[in-house]
Amino acid sequence: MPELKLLTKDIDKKDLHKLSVYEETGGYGSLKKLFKKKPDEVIEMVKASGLRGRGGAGFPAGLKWSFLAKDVFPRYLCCNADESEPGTCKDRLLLEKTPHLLIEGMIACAYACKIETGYIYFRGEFQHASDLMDEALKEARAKNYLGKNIMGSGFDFEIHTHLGAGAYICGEESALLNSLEGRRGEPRLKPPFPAVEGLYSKPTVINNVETLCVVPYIINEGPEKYASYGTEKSKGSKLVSVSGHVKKPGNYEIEMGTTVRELIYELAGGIRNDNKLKAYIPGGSSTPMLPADLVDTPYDYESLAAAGSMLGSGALIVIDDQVNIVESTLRLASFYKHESCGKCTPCREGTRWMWQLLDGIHNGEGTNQQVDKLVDICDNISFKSFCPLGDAAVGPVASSIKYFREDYEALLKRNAEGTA
Amino acid sequence: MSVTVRETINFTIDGKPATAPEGTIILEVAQKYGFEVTNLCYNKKLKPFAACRTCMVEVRHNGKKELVYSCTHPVAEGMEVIIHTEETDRYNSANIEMLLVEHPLDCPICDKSGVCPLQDNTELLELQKPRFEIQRRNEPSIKTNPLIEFYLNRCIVCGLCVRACDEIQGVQALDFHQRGMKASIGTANDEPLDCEFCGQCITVCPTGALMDMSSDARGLAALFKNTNTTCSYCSWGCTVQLETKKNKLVRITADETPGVGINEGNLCAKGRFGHGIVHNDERIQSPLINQGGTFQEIGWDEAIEMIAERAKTTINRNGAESLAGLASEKLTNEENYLFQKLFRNNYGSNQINNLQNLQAPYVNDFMLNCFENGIESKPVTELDQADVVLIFNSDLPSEYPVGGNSIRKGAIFTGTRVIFANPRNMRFDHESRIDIRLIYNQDADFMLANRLCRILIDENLVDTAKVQEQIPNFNDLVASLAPYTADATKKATGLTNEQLKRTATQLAEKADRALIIGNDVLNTGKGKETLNALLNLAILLNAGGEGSVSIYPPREHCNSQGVNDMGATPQYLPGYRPVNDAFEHENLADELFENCANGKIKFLHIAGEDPMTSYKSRSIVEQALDTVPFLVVQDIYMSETARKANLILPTATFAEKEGTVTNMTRHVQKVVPAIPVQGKAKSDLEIFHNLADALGSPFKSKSSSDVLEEIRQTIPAYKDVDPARHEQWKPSGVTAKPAFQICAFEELKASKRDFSMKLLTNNHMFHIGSYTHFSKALTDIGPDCFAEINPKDAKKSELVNGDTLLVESSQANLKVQMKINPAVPAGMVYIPKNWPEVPVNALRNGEDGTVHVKISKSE
Repeated sequence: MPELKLLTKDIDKKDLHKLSVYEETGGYGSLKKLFKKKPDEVIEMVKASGLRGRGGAGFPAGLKWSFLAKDVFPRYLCCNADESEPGTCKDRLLLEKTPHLLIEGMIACAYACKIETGYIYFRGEFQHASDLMDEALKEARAKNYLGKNIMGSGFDFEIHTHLGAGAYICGEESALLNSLEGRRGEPRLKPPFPAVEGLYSKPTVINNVETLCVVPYIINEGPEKYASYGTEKSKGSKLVSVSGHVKKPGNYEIEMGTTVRELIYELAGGIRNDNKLKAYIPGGSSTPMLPADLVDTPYDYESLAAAGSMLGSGALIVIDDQVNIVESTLRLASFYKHESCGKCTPCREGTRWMWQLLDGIHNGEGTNQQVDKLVDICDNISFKSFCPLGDAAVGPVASSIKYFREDYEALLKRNAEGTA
Repeated sequence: MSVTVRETINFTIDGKPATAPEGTIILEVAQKYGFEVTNLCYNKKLKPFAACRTCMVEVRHNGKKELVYSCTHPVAEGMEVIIHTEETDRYNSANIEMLLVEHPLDCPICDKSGVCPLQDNTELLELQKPRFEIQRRNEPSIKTNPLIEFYLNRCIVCGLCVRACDEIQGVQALDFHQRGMKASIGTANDEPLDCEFCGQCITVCPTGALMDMSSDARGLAALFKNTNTTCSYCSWGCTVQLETKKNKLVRITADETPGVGINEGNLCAKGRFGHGIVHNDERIQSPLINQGGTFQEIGWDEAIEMIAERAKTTINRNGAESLAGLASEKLTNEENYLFQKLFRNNYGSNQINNLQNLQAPYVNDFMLNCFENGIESKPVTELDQADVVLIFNSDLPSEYPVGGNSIRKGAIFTGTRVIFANPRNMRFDHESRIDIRLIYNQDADFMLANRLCRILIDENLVDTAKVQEQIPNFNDLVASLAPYTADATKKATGLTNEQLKRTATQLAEKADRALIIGNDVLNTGKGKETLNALLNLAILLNAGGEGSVSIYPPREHCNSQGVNDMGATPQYLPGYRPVNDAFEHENLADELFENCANGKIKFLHIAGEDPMTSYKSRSIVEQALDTVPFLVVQDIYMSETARKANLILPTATFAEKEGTVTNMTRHVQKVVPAIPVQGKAKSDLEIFHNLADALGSPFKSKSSSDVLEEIRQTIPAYKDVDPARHEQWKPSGVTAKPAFQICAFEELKASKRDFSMKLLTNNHMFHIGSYTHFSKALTDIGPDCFAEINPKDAKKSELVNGDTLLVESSQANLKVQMKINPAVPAGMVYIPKNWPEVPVNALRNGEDGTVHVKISKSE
């Protein structure tokens, strides 16, 4: 099963991050085609391609662009490069290897949406990527791919970079906007949605790095070509970060609908020491884990949802049979406890209690009632928290109990015997 | 009400039919219909935050069942709302349960005990057994500022304080710190709180995490006696809640219950923390007689007898008109009414006045002209629904802080557009999408207002044909506006015609407009011209546009309006009946102090005022008081004025008296005693009664409510006003006389070469009148008087922050500490007034209008 390299075709080319090298690979070639079209036509193309947001929610990108409040200016484009989901490192690959691809994608989006100012919000730790991007922006400006009257098209566009301060919550689009405005990074009430009232209360498009990087392909090759790949509702390719107990962890660009089995055993070389697969988390730490017997699930939005999980940000975390699931769940619960912004009660207090109970069970102080209490807390957070962070925190805990209650019981039993 | 019309939605709550305007959230309607819905982070005055997650209700709509949070979910046509179900209770309880695990539960010593939403919600959900292990926090209290204690162990991170600080006050002194379980509230970098000290954060805090340190009272607030009364400081007329314990005033709080007052539970630093004037050893303890420069205690009977005798002999010797009284902008309506009655009926003198009317007698006429032109002001409770607010020469955060609160609320919920016109570039932060700031040259107020009128006409922004039809002297107005050209206005105000055109366009749109006029207008030397121009502006918008115009005359103190309503003026009897109908009199009180100084007035009775520090010119007051043969002063504290008296009578504070006061927007409101009159003091009402008795013709109306009844019968506009309902008095029996007020054009006077700077003086954010300096809490946050100058002037005179400034006028000079403030324009010196150590009114040299001064560094 080969990869489908629509975005990463030249990713290993030396110095691809430099403009001259990028141009050799045909970079910025989409702009000539772009400026021949009317903005609305570009939105229609993206709609026709079936491209869906690669940040986690999978919302159709073209539709999102068309929701922008009419006739309200200025408007903004924010690229969400706050890639913080544990297990996910595909945006980093694009940012560090091919920053000009993102710029090219952002120009297309801005042109389609009549936006003159764009921001790239980097995860706080992405200093290197941000430095590379600043260089790339400088090069692009010098060649008039950015700035006033781009390539004589009459279209003006400028991009600014911004480094976050290391909060997971700022990957949530409205918290990102707050942070970008200099406020505390915490989610905003929706509605109003960013398309109506976003950055500085103006209509705003927020897209993930990978989503924007797909756009030049669609302009160059046409939406039909892109839509010819993938499944009925999940079109095109997807960058998947495979991590955990595999022999060859890394980023793989696959056609939507490739099975998880192919991803693990063919692309990633199988499980370490040829151990047995126990579970996998398909879309980053916030998506519910699935047991080994669901390994033939096709990797696309619908199939993973049908299996009880999500494609999320496209990070496949593989867990082999050498692991007690409570331990991995505790690690994830600790992450969410640390990253809850503290705004709403269920997430702030609930993530702490989940962690505390799991820690107790893990340390040999657990009881069966505590597992029930965990289930109860999951129910109290799930769809009750202010933003999806709470739901994300529930994902690993609830699914670990659902599929691997025996791991909990084994620990409880050992504890009971130990104390006796 | 805003001109935007919202559709009415029909739905049910627990089976009962209900209606609300579209967009209304479930929680708001449910509360309105009397249903109890658990919630911790909702406050009607603030934007929904939806963080506590304890207000879940079930809704059924279009055949679908949904669990929603009632603080953010709007009602929809045909929706069924069910407030309590097993499910909603379970989920709401879970959150409260988790909050209680960390909460100290030190209720017996908590400020909010008994009035605590956390307690109430726990009770409402019948939450009893905690399922989680108790994990109390135990962090020390933070007391790094003089007034607000942070005891964050009790904090439930509802964010109400943070939002109140931002949305109600526009200050943003508080925000969240940290995240997750460590999330808490605090100041930037944990620096000591340095803000407007409005204490809104204390009011909205549901748990006693923020406490008022001006009071030692702790615990079971529900057991304190609460008295709602009207604040005695500025003329906004906020209702304050006096908390008393064993006949002692322990604290002032605010009641946010709808309908309690016009201020929705908002207060300012003065109103909330300025209660130190009540129980205070510096109060005058007994009647005092001046014996050769020293004051000796005397008995009340003796003192009253002495005044009565002196009055009689003066009347016999010099005629009744040689007796004059200065009524007070701080006394109640009933007291002022009896005071003027004492003069008019008992003494037979019409020589009664008040400080505002002395300085700006045209304000009453302006108000009456508004009535005659059909410009009525809507109740101030509707200010938050105005579409456009023009704040004209008022530094709202200092002058009417709570007015600012209403306007900010309007900006959020009504989309009020705010136009801020002021010579100083003062802070007024709010969420309005349109904020026009007109920072114009000092004293150019009338140019600005007249130019706006002219633009409305020239640009056809109002329907001039309609105006012409309704207002007979329209052509006179047009002619009188000829000098207000774009160029002349630019020269005088510094504003471009584009700015003014944008302003005029905003004002002319179909909208409900409110016009708040600051008291600074009266100090420009062209107060009358400015007010008339603003009236003309209002008439143009009213007659030639759509929507409404509300306009409020400038009034400074809590009863500046009422003292004039009560006829404590030489021009008008109670209810603005012209005096000449009833009296033949010499007009001495118009120039009260001058006529004391020149010997025409032989007997002066000052009730509760300190003109030595409060009146615009100190020198004339000093001459008057030194000359007048007999001076009685009744007051709470030994003021500069009292020191010059022959006889001093100690009076009661607002917390000890009964009556009514009338605010700047003509709401007549109750003053209710919370504690008995302290020590040997007497209420002003009682003193006037004693005097009338001693004169042998007692007043018929005895109690304060009897006097109010008499006022109702005397003043038609007061006839149906119920002070308990915070109602406005409405003009009654006014004959419509539509007319523009035409003033001749006169160019602004240039500064004199020697005294090239202009002085601006008004009330400090933490001080108003002569009492606040006796309140420890207020002197703790506003201890020093600072003159403020522009960086350019500082540079020119080589001055830096902290220098002592020598301010000289042709009359006098004074020394004052200074700081540089870029909000103050070049060429202006700003010095707060009423400061005991800095008698800024001494600089005036007799002429009207702005005082010209020069500055230098004092060695």
